[in-house]
Formats: sequence, C-alpha cells, structure tokens
Amino acid sequence: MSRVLQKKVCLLGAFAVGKTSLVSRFVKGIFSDKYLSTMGVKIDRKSLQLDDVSVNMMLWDVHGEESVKKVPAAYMRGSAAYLLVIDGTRSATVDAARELHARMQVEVGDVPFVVLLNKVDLKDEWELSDADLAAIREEGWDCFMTSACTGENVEAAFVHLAGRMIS
Amino acid sequence: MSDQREKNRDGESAPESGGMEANSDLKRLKELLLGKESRQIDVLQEHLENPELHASDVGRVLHQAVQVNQKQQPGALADALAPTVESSLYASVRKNPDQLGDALFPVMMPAIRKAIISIMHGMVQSLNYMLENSFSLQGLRWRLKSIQTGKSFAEIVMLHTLTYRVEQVFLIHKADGLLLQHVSFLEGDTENADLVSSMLTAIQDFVRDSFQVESSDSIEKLNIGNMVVYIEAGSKVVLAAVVRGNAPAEFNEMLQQRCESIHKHMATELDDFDGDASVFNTVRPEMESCLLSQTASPTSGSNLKAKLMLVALALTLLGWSAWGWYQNEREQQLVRALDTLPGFVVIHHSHEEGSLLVSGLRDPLSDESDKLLHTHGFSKDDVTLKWTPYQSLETDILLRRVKLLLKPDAKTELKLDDSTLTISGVAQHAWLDRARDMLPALPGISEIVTDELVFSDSPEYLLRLAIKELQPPATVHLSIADGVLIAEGKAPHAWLNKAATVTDLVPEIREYNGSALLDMDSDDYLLRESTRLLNPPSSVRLRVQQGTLIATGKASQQWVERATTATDIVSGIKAYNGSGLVNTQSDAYLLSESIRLLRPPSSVHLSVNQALLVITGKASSRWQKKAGRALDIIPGINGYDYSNLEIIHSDAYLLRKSIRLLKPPSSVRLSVRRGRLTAKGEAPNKWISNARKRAKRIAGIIRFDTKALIDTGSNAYLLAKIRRELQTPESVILELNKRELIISGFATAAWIEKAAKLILRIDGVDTIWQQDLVVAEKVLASLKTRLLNTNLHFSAHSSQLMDGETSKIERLASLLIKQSELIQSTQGHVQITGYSRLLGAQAKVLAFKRAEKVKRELIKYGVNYKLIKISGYMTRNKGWAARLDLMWSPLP
Repeated sequence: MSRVLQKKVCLLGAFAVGKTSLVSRFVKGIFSDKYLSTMGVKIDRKSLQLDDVSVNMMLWDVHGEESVKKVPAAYMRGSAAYLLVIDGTRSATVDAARELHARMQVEVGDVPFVVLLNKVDLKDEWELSDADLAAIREEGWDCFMTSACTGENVEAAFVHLAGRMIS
Repeated sequence: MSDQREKNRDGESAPESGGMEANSDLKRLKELLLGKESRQIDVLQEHLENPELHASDVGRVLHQAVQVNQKQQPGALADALAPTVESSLYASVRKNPDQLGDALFPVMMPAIRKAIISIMHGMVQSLNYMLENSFSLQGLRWRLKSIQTGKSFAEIVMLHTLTYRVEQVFLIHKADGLLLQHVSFLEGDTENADLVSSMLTAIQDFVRDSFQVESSDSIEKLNIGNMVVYIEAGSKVVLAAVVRGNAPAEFNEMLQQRCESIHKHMATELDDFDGDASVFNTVRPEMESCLLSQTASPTSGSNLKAKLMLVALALTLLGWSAWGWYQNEREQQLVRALDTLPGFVVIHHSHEEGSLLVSGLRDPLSDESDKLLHTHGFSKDDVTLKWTPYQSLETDILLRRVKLLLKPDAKTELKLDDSTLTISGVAQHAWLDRARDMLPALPGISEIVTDELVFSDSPEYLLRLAIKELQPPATVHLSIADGVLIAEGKAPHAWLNKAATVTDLVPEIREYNGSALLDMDSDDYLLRESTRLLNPPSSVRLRVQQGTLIATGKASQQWVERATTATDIVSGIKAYNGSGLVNTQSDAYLLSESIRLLRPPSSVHLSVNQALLVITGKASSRWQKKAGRALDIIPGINGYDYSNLEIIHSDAYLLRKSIRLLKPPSSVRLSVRRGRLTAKGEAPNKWISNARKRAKRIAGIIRFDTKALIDTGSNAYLLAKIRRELQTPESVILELNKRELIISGFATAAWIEKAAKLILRIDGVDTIWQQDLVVAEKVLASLKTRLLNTNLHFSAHSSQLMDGETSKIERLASLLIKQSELIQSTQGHVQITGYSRLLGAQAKVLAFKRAEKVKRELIKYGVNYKLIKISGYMTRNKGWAARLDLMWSPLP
C-alpha cells in the first residue's frame, strides 16, 4: 500500500507576481487575468502521485510580501517546502524573493524550495537580464521559467518540488 | 591517590637526606604510630579540599540533609532556595518557553479546567438569579417542571437550551496545520477536512498576527450562526469540534481531556510527524467518542399523568360548581316563571329534602303548571307545589271566568280592557240580554261596550253573510225577506248550484228562492244570446250543445269570420264549432260547386284560386264548351282559366283518322287506346318508317307503338319465315347475312334434300352455304347398326326377358343417353318392334307387350321416353322377339 504524505507548502513572493494564479493553474487548471489581491492566506490542496507515495500538498498561498506588510512568520512555520515566485517583468521582485528566502531559512531551516520566474509569456515586458538570471542560478537555486497564463512549466515545477520533498 | 602520596613522600625525603636524621626518625616513629590515621586524615583533607569530591560527598547526603533540615527548620530551605529557583525558572522560560510549557502542560490543564468550572458554576448561579426574575410563559413552564422534578431552575433551563450535536472533530498538527485525523457525524463532510484544518490554523495565525496577542493565545471558539467550532489547542496538536446547537460545558472539558490524552499517548508520533497521518488512526475511537448529540428531552410520562390528573381535578371542580350554579339558576327561573303565570302567586320557595318546594295561591281557572315545569326541565318529582285556591282578578283569568259564565258563540269576541268588557263579532239579541243581566254580578267588570257587535238574527246581517258566502256576480240581486233569501237576475250555472246550498252555508237563512234566476250556462240561454249577438243569415243554423256553439249551413266570408270569435262575443260560450259551416265565398266551396255543376271527366283537374276557376288536364271539346258556361251557372266564380286544358278526341275518331292517313297494308292491323296507336302484323320496312312519321302528325295520337309490327324486309323476319317454311329442326342453325343463308348444325338427309329445293324459292336469299351442316344419319350410323344388331330374346309366350338380355339393354341405354340430344334435335327416335310366334289376336298383344317391356327397361336406365316409339308384329323370326332401330320420321 502506498503511503499518503501531507505536506505544507508555502508560496512566497512579492505582491502581484502570480502566486494565486500559479496555484489556480496548478490545482484547477484555469487562469484568469483578473488581479485579486490575496488577503491573509488562501489554502488549496493538490494531490500528486509519485511512485508509491501520494503527496497531498497543502498549498498556502500567502499574501504578497510588501515593505509595509510582511509575511507573518506563523504562516511560514511548519512548511515542508516552499516556492519563491519572481515576476520576470519586475526585477525588484528578485530582491523580495531573496529576503523571503532568508526569512524561511530562519523560520524553517533548510527545506526544499524552487524558484519560479513567472510571466514568461510576457516576453515584450521581460525585465530580468541574463546577468540577473546568472546570479540567481549561481546561488544553486532550482529555477523554472513559468507562465500561469499558458501553464508552461507550472506542473513541472510543483512536481519537482514534491519529488524533492519525499527524497 | 596512593601514587600521589608516594610522590609526596619521595619529594619530602629527597631534599633532606643528610642533616635531618632525627626528624626522619621521628617521622618514622610517627609513621609507625600514626601512619594509618595520618593517611585517613589526608584522604579527608583531600575530600574537603577537592570540589569534585566534595560535591560528590554532599550529593550523597543532600536529600537526607534536606529531609533533616525540613524536620528541624521547616520552610527554611524553601525560603533559602526561592530566589534562586525563581531566577533560574525565569531564565529557563526566557530561554525556551515551550520546554517549561510542555513540562507543565499535564499539571496545568487540570488546574485550569477546575478554575474554569468554578467560574462557570458562578455564571450558572447568576443566570439562575436572572431567570428567577423572568416571568415568560416558557419560564413559568420550566419553573413548574423544576418544582415537579426537584431540580434547580437553572438546571432545567440548561436541560432545555443545551440541545446540540457534535458533527465533526478535527485533530490538527499545530506546527503546520496539517490534518492528522478527522471524524464526522455525517458521511460527506470528510472531503475538504484537510483544507478546513489548514484554514483553521491559518485563521489562528492570521488572528494572532493581526491583533498582536501572545503566541500562546488562540481562538477557542468560533460562532457561525447556530454552529460553534470549539478549538482546543494543546502544545503539539489542536482538537477542533464542530458543534451544531449548544453543547454543555462538560463538552469543552471532555475536549480538553481528549487533547491531553492524545498528547500523552502520541507524544513520540507527534514529534516524529513527517506528513504521514496514518499513524494517528489509533486515536480515532477517542475522537469518535466526542461525536455526542443530545435532543431536547420531552416531558416524561409521569409528569404527563400528573398533569392530566390535575387537569381532571380542576375540570371536576369547575364542573361541579358550574352545575350547582346552573341548578340554582334553573330553579330561580322556574319560580319567576310560575309567579308570572296568570292565576298564580308564588309566596314562598325553598329546598326540602333535595327537592324544590314552592307554595302560594292559584286560581282554579289558571293553566296547569305541568307544562311550565316541563319547559324548564323539571319533573313533578323534582318540585313540590302547594297551592291555595283564590280568585284572581287578572285580565286573562277574569276573561276566562266571563267566557265560562256567558258561553259565547265562536263568532262572538270578548275583550277585557281594565274593567271594560268589549263585545264584538256576532251574537244573538237574546244572548246579549242575558249577558247584560249576568255581568254586573262579576267583580272586576264595570262597563260593557257592544258598539261593534252585530246581531246574527237581523236581515242585514243575514244578507251580508249570504253575500260573503255566495259572492254573487253583478248580474244577480239578493234580498232577504222573512229569513228567505231571494235571488234575481242571471248567473252562471256553478253559482246557481252554490246558491241553492245557501241554507247550509248560512244556517240562519231559513229558505232560498232562486226561481227568478236565469242559468247563464244553459244551452237555451246561450243560443238566444248567440243568435242575438251574431245575427246569423237565414242559411245558417245555430245550435248550442253543452256550451259549444255549432254553426252549420252557408254563410258569407265576413259572417264566418265573425262567428269564429263567438267565444269572445257571447259570454258563456266555451267553444265554437264552425266545421259544418260553408263559406260561400271560399275557394273550397266554389270548387265543390264547380265540380258538382260541371262534372269534369277524370282527366280534368279543377282548382279555384281566389274565385278564379282553373281547369287543367285533358277533356273533350264538348265538355270544354260546357265548362265555358261555368261563369253563369256558379255564383261566386269571377273568371276561369283554360289555358292548360288539353282538348282530346275519342279513340274511335283517332283510329278512323289514323287508318285514313297511314293507309296500312292488309297484313297490318291498327288500334287506338287512350290516344295510343298500336300497329300489329307484317309490313315492309318502308311503310313502317312512313307510318311513324305520319302518326306523329295526327292530333290526339300520343304515341305510335310498332313493337308488334314485323318488318318483312328484316333478316329476322326472313329467317323466321325460312325456319317456318322448312320446318327446321332445333339442331339446325340458320344465319342470314346479306342475302346469304348459312346452314349449320345436324339434320337428317331427307331434310337437307328438301331444304335445298325450297330455300331457293324464298325472296331475299341468293346464296346457300351448308358446309357445316352434318348429316345426322352419318353421325348416328354406328348407333343405328348397334341397335339393329341387337336382338332381344323373351321367354316363350311371355314378355319376360331372357337372362342376360337386360344387360344388353343397359349398355344400349348408356349409348342412347350419350346421343339423346342429337337424336331428339334431329327429330329422330328409337323404334322398338316386338314380335310374337303366337297366332291370332293374342300374338299382336304379346308382341306389343314385349316392345313395351324393352321401352320400360330403357326408361329405367335413364333414356328419355320421348325418344322411344314402339310397335308389335306377329311375324316370328328365329330366336329373337324384339328388335330396335334408329329412325327419323318422314318430312311432311
């Protein structure tokens, strides 16, 4: 009989990077270009079957990190893994990701995480330079170029994270 | 240690080896004397000076020392330690609050629980006090229940309000909000339990974060409408219960106990939790025990019984008092009614031995009181009545007394008003005189008024009575003389009958005299009236039969019309019968007169329309002339119309005319019947066609019938003629086509020969074809031979056939039957000749008998008797006695 594992997974990132859209794409397979700011936290569930392990990912879609409204540590605690979401059309969101990563290191320690460079479908507005990307990769982070709009790499990123959680 | 001591010894001896011999001896002595003790002192010294050894020594006796100290100086050690412990605890909590929290959790929770229970109890008491002052219906009901059951009022309130159901219980991992276990009252609630679990945790975090409360503070209860989520947070898990309704305080307590128990039992699993919740399946029973529910308890049966009894008792009491009141009221009503009854005075009433006793005065003329008792629902047994007789002056009773005394007629009306007696209606003089004599003797009557009284023995009264009873019509006059009613004038029969009974209707009338009255319904009267009013002409005779006016005779239209309204004109005439009356101006009358006088033949139809005589149909000219005089002989006929009258001639005249015009040949005979000309006989085609044309021109001939006329030029005629002249047998078929005669079928040679000669002499036949004509003799030749070869043998001197001869006959018969049609149609026959050997007259008879025998036999076997001819001969020839032959009769 396969094991069923529940894992708390946090989505972190600056505001309006597409965390909720990524969850919506991953969990429900839909995308809406309406922007609804998340208040507090929204929780969704996605089950993934990896070999003989069924992973129930409890996705904590936390509100966007802003200078005046930090993500509370309580939301971070207990996370088995997390996703750092960066908006490729706004290079400032990389710094927010770095800061959140640092806080997660403090709150939950060294747990698996992936970095999502979101909105890859908006090529015209893309801001991140190759140097920025190189810098991110240099840190040894697992990066995925994703688009909640087209669904590109979304599933792959989540599945990769799940795999790392159970390994 | 011994090594050390050795070292020391060596160290001491080495620097003073030469000069200090004595010291060394002393030391040796000392060594010898005190060596053991010295070593022990060293060890002690060591123990005192070495902190490690010293701590070990103290540690060995510390607990005993504490005990001794506690005995000797109780509290001293605690006081001494307090500051140290406090500061060390403070430091520890500052360093890691969870550790101390975990350590204290099992100890703290029961204490906290106790504290909460105590607080709740206080709250209940205050609630009790509050409710005690409420007087709602519900409150009163609960209070009654509190009295019944002996429980405190607050308890009852709780019992009623705390109706609940625990629907779901969640066991949540506190650190990450993951669902460890979930149990549900309902099946379908499990689907999103993990989301709910995470969300509850998130909400906790959110609330904590938003309101900056202590990290140990958390939401304990969420109220959502009728639903409450109880959240019991332990150090590692959170137990959340979803409750619908109001759970009792014990539930919260139970939740706490469960939470603690889970902490205790699952401590290792909780610490090692990696996301696999299956290990927590063991706590399910514990969680399921939390799925409590309670419904509002209904009133117990015993209470219901008590209530019912109380109600019954109350109803009985109420009924009893109501009954008492009702009885009393009924009696009062009866007494009042008795008192108001004329001729009754109730003086006293009381209860005696359960029954009502009424006593007083009663006038003997008053009504019986039984009826009153009955209407008030009392019987004679219920009430004892004691009356003393007295004379009442009440109007009703007084009037009764007067009537008893005077015995007035039914038509006499008496009325008493105070003391004045008014007599009205009808009475006799004698009765009034008696009344006037007697009344003054009665107390209570002072005056008698008779203004409206009518005396029954006065003529005016009698006449009025008679008029009222008989209601005479205006035509009658009534009068009274010496008691005799005299009626004069005229009246309907019914009234006359009624008037005759007047002495019965009005007995005061001695006699009735109606001799001067006329019966308006009598037939004589009505006839007189009818004659007078209708004034019929002399040709009309009137009769009246049982009210029906019958008019007969002839009259003008005007009078006839007037007579039909006789029932309106003559009163008393019920019906009018004018069927016997002839309207001399009516068309029907004129028509009948015309028919009578003109006597039209049956072929003529007469009609009269508004005095115009219309003559249609057929008539002879003579009758027509006679009809022309109609205007003169029938009065009332204004004119006539002959336009549609057809003048016809007699058959004899027409026949004469036809013969003259058609000139028929001698072979044709003409006849006329009702205008139909018929020609019979034979005529050439030319004459027939001419005659048809001419006949049409003869006036009076309606039709010319030539069906019976034979056209001498036609093929049919010729064929018939040939067939007749040739005496053609049926078997021969003749056809005539354009003067060519085709003869086919069967015929005898003789006939063929004869026909060939005759035919050519007949007009109309040029050629003869007889290829298909078959000669009968040829066809039947074999049959003829067979017959001729058949010799039939008879017994000697008898007409009995010899044995085997009948079979010959039978065979012949079958052959003959086959050809019988041909034989017959060619006019042939079988000739049977019988023979005899006898001599004299007998011989011919026997011969004939024998032939006859053969004929019978043939007929027996089915041969038509018409085919057979027999004859007998005397001649004897060899052995046979009968011969057969097929023959044809010779042509004439």
